[in-house]
Amino acid sequence: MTFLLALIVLLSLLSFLLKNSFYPHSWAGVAAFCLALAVWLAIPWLTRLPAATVASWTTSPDRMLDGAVCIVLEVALMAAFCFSRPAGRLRLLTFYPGLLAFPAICWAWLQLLISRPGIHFGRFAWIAALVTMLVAFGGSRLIRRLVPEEQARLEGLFLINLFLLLLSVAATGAITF
Amino acid sequence: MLRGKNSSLLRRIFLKCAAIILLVAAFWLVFLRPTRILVVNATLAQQADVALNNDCRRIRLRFEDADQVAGENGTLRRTDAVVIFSRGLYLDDAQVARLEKAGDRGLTIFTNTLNNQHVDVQCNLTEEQRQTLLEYFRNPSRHNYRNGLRYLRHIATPLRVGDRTCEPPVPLLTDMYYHREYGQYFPDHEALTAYLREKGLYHEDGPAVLFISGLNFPMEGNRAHVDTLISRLTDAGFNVYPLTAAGEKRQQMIRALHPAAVIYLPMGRLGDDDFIHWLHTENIPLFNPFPLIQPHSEWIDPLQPVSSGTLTARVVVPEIDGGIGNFCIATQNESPDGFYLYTPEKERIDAFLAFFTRTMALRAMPNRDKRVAIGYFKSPGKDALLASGMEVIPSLYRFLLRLRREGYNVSGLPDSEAAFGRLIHQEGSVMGSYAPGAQAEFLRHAHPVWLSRDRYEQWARETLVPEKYQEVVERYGHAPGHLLVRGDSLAVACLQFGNILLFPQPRPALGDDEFRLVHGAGVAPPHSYLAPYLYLKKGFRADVLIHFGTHGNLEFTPGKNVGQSQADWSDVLIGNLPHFYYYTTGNVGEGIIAKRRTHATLITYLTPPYVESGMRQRYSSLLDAIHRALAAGGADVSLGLRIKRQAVQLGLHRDLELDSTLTVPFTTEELEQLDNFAEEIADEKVTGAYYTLGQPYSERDLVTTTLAICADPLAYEMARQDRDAGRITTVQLQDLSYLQHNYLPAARRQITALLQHPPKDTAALAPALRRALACRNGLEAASRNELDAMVRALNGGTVFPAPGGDPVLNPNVLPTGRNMYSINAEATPNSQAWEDGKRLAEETLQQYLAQHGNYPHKVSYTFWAGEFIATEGATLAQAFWMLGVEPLRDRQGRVVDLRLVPGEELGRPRINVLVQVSGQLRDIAGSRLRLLTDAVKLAAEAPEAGGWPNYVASGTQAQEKTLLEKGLSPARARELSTMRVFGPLNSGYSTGMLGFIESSGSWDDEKEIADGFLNNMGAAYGDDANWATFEPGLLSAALQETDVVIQPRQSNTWGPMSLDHVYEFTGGLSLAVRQVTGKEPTAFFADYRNRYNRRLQGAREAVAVETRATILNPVFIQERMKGGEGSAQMFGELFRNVFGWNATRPSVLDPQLFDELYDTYILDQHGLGIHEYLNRVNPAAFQAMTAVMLESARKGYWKASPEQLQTTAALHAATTEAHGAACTEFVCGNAKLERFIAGQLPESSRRSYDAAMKAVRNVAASDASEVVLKSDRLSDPSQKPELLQHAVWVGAVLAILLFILLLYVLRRKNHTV
Repeated sequence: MTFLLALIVLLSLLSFLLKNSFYPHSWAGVAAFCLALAVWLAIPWLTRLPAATVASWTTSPDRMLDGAVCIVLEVALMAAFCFSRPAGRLRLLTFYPGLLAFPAICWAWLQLLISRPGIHFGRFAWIAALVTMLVAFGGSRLIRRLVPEEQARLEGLFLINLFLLLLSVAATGAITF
Repeated sequence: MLRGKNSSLLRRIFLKCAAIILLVAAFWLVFLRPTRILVVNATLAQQADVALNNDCRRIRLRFEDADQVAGENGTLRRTDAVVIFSRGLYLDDAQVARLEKAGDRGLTIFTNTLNNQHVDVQCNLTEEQRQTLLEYFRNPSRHNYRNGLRYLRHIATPLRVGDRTCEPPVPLLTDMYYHREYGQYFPDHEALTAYLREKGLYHEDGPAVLFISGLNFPMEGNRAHVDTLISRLTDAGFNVYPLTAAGEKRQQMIRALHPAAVIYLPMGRLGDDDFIHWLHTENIPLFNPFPLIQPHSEWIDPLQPVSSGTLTARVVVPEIDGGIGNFCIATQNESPDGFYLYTPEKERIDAFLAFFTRTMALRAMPNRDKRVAIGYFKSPGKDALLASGMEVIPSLYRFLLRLRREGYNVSGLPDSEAAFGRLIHQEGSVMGSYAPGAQAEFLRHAHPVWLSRDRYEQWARETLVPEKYQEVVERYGHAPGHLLVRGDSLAVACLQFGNILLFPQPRPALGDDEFRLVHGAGVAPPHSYLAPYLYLKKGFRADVLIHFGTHGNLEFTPGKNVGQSQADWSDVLIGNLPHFYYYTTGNVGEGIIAKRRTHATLITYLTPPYVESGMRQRYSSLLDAIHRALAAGGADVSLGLRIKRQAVQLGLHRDLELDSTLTVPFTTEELEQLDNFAEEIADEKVTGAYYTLGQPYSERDLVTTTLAICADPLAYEMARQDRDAGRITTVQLQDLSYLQHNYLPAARRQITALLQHPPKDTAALAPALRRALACRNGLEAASRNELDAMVRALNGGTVFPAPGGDPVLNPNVLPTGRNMYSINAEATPNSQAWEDGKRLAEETLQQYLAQHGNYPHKVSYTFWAGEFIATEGATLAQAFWMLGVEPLRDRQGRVVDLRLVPGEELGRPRINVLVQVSGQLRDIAGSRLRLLTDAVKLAAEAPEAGGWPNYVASGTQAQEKTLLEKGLSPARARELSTMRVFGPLNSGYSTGMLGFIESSGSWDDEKEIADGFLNNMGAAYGDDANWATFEPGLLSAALQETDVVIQPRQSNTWGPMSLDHVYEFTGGLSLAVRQVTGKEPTAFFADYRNRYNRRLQGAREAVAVETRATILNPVFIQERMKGGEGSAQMFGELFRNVFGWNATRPSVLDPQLFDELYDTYILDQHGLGIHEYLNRVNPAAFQAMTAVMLESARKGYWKASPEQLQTTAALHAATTEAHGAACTEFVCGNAKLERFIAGQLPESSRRSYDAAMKAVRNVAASDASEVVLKSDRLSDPSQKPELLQHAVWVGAVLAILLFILLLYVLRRKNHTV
């Protein structure tokens, strides 16, 4: 289950980076800043979040179902973006950066927090926010540079989201059954 | 052009407006703004006084703690002046510098300081201004606070307009009497008497009560509780004389009034030692009720302790004066204005008043009318009556005879002690729920008092608050419960002789499977426990209550440390009865708890006499041989071999873990080791038969006990003189073995000669010898004094105060018959303890290093109250020094802060610590536990220095990691990572494991004991936020890396074998460490028994010394056989402790110990007649001894031969058949043992044994199972998840998505086509 969850987190983040790669620099910067700000604000809350509670979510069918619904909605939006972008329709979806990245990156930071006893929480929040911003901005720019063809990125985004959907279904199913 | 002109005009207008605004603002700031005065470190009461007496609108007050102001993030901005109350304040140099820097910027800072206070920061004040301000604030009153603030405003902000008037300070009126009405002051008590007469408040026959409430009470407003108490005392018929005075003048005024009683509220002592002696000599009792600086909600929470400052000032110090009645009479609560004012606690004032009135009434009441209830202690079954070191039945009998001589109605008292003893066992028994047959037998033959359910419930309603009674019902069901019940009635086992009621204190809990405590769950006693206490108050209508001997369990029902409310059982059941408690002087730690939690006046009694162990004679040839061999430098091989043969024959090589090859002599080092060990056994101080109250020590016991107390100090003194004269070195002076060889015999000879022929004129004697004579006289006077003190107390008189502890360690406890007090925990560790602690910590590390080649990562200590009081914090000092932290003191000697010892100076790693505390220690020294947690935090943040690792830091991280792995949040794991102090759950007092270990039929694996220990001792006592916090897994996380466990030992009256709490705590801790780390930690005893040689000793060695000097020593056994059932009971206890060690830490015991016990007690190889003795005086103890041996064999602790088993079982069956099953828990509560014993018996004996056991068990065995325990209901069955529903949801979402995808694909296809 942990492996599945890690995979979901990774794909969510990739999806975010891919989605942001369609933005100009300034928008990508704003999106990265917003994510970093959210992370910075969320770290104090994360430090008070018992690992057992997080672990219990992954074994709770209710919680996993909630998560699956969120993923399905995100995937639906991303899929819609993938199909509408070439036709130039549903432009509003362009501005949606992908919200799943936030819980995903929070989960990732929480795992790091848990594995690093003794770390200074305040300093950690700043570093986490900075790293988030750099990765979010730099990652999307790097993808744009490495894969300049928009169609290819769209296909990648679609495939990743499709995979994300399957994984979430598998994870929910594993808990439920 | 026009636009340009307009623009210029607008700019000018704007600039003018801005200038006007700036000018107005500046004017306001300089002349009009109210003066902002910051008041720092004022108590809540002071804050209220200062604020409520400020009537100047131009003054704005703000109150803050010192840390908020002078701390790293503190600020002094937005302030015009600062007033610092320096009492109890400690600021470090950096904080003082911060304040002074603010002063350099122009801030006016005034410190209201006294000469002995640490902080004195004065800035921007002339000397005259400072003195004037001091006059205002040192004399706190309405007038002075009001005008002091105005004066300060004038100094700090001289340009501010407004009311600038202030009247000069008025010195506080002192040395005067006052009364409720504000402004009524009287120079002497005659004037006040006249005033009271004039007001109609004087009672012509009323006793005069001196009431001292505080220096400034007459003038201040925060005095509602004082006025209430004065009114209530007046209404109760007393003439109350409220006094404000201090020092010598106060003493003079008290002597002049010569009141019937003194009620003393202020902090600090009433007077010096001479004055206190006068007070008690004049038989003027001193009462110390106190207001609490905590809100009502905190006070009524039994888990919230009274703060350490209040504890010291209001309880510890008054105890030194012999004060009693420490009721909390007021709490401090927030008023609608936001200030904290004292609120009288009416119910407590009533309780105190009733306690006071009843105590005073004893003075006038004729003895023949006094109704006295006496509680004694006894374990279930046919066990002896228990009291530490005391033969209870003869003591009680002598006490009753004395009461009869004093005129008390003791009619019906049997003519002989033996008949009295039989009656007690027949009528005043205690029953266990596991033996319904024995219960039925008791109810058939005894004559208990029967309480109907209605009567019992009515009394319970009248006595208990509803919530408390509900706790009982929730835990044990509705009355009458299941123990000692017939129909709807409940039996109270007791005996009545005239106006004297004797009752056994029942068991405080029922149900044998409830050893695991549940955090936060109430621990109400059963109906059978409440019944006697309700009966003695409501039915018997006792005037006074006595608990007879050390100790009962009422004071250990969990709850508040002092100043209890009706939410505490110990307070509820004693109520407002005058309460006296005979308590051994050897156990001051637990005595203090009894004193504080049950409003008891302790009356100490002697320990058993110290006697010659006879071991020196037994080892004399061995010791001679060793000394000769050592003198020869090991050259004499044949002598060496002879020594080895002898040592092996005696089994000493096993204790020291030396080889037993008889062809190779010991090395010189081994010989020295053997010499020290044999010397220690030879000089071990052992106690003889238990003490009987009122029966003086024999002449021989007086000599041997005086020698035990005084010989070591005299030997040390002689050696010190030789050292000073250059005849020996300091190293030799500090070598205990050297002193024992070279000085102790001479010292003993001198003292013995002195005691046998005491000179008439002692003035010429050396001080040490004079002390020996005084000691002998004290011992001789003790037995008389103990009875006299109780008689005097029962007459409403005072009991002189005294320190407590083992007389060997503190001869000042003599003569006994006095009221024990404790020490000021705030001053610990004191300087001597600090030096001892440092030395012992280093010794621990050196010994560990020598054994293992590396430093230990973590050392786990046990803290007990007795050791803490006796050494004034030596073990605490050890823990500090392990961490590399040292205490900082204020000018009054209190330890108020800590300093990190630099790594380079330490020269070794910082060693991590863990401390397990008894509830008693937690209650008397909570502030030290917080300080210890601060020390851990300080050490954990220290950088590694000098190439030495910091195990505190790495251990803290490891603890945090483990807690994270256990699922705690990172912040919580961080917070708990520095928790190192642990103790009993729910503010309890012990591990709760003793009963479980001894109920050995209920567990099969020692792991169960370890789990129970980790649960029951898992409450953290670290800081205020986490006081009594229980987090599953926290203790096991904290126990990681433990390499060493250390148990303190400060009394010669007990040792690892003779006190069950030692295996309970240290054995339990060792077992828990083994469970957590997989390896057994090294165990040491920190031995504080010798004032001149506090040292560390290996646990195995300590156990071996006591074992050889006592339980296996025929001389000791013979001495004990001179005693009665109490002394015999001790044999059973020793055997049970052997079992306890086997269950928790078997490695401390010699594997052949059981065989030696078998030879000594079962075969009686020394021909002592021990079987006859035990069968005669205490067959229950004999049954317990044989049962322990057989249970040990059943558990595999004793590898007994079939013959040994059969012999032991036959002996057990024979005594059971002859005297009936004793039905102690070990004997009757273990079906597996019964079957095992039966299996060892021949058929004929088996039948009679079975019949005897059935007789005590065979009645309605379902009784106990009907008891509903709260813990049983704590785990509700979890709800199964509704899997199907979730599956449907997931399937539906999936189907919809696939359908959308399909539609889309089809649409695109169509589009493409």
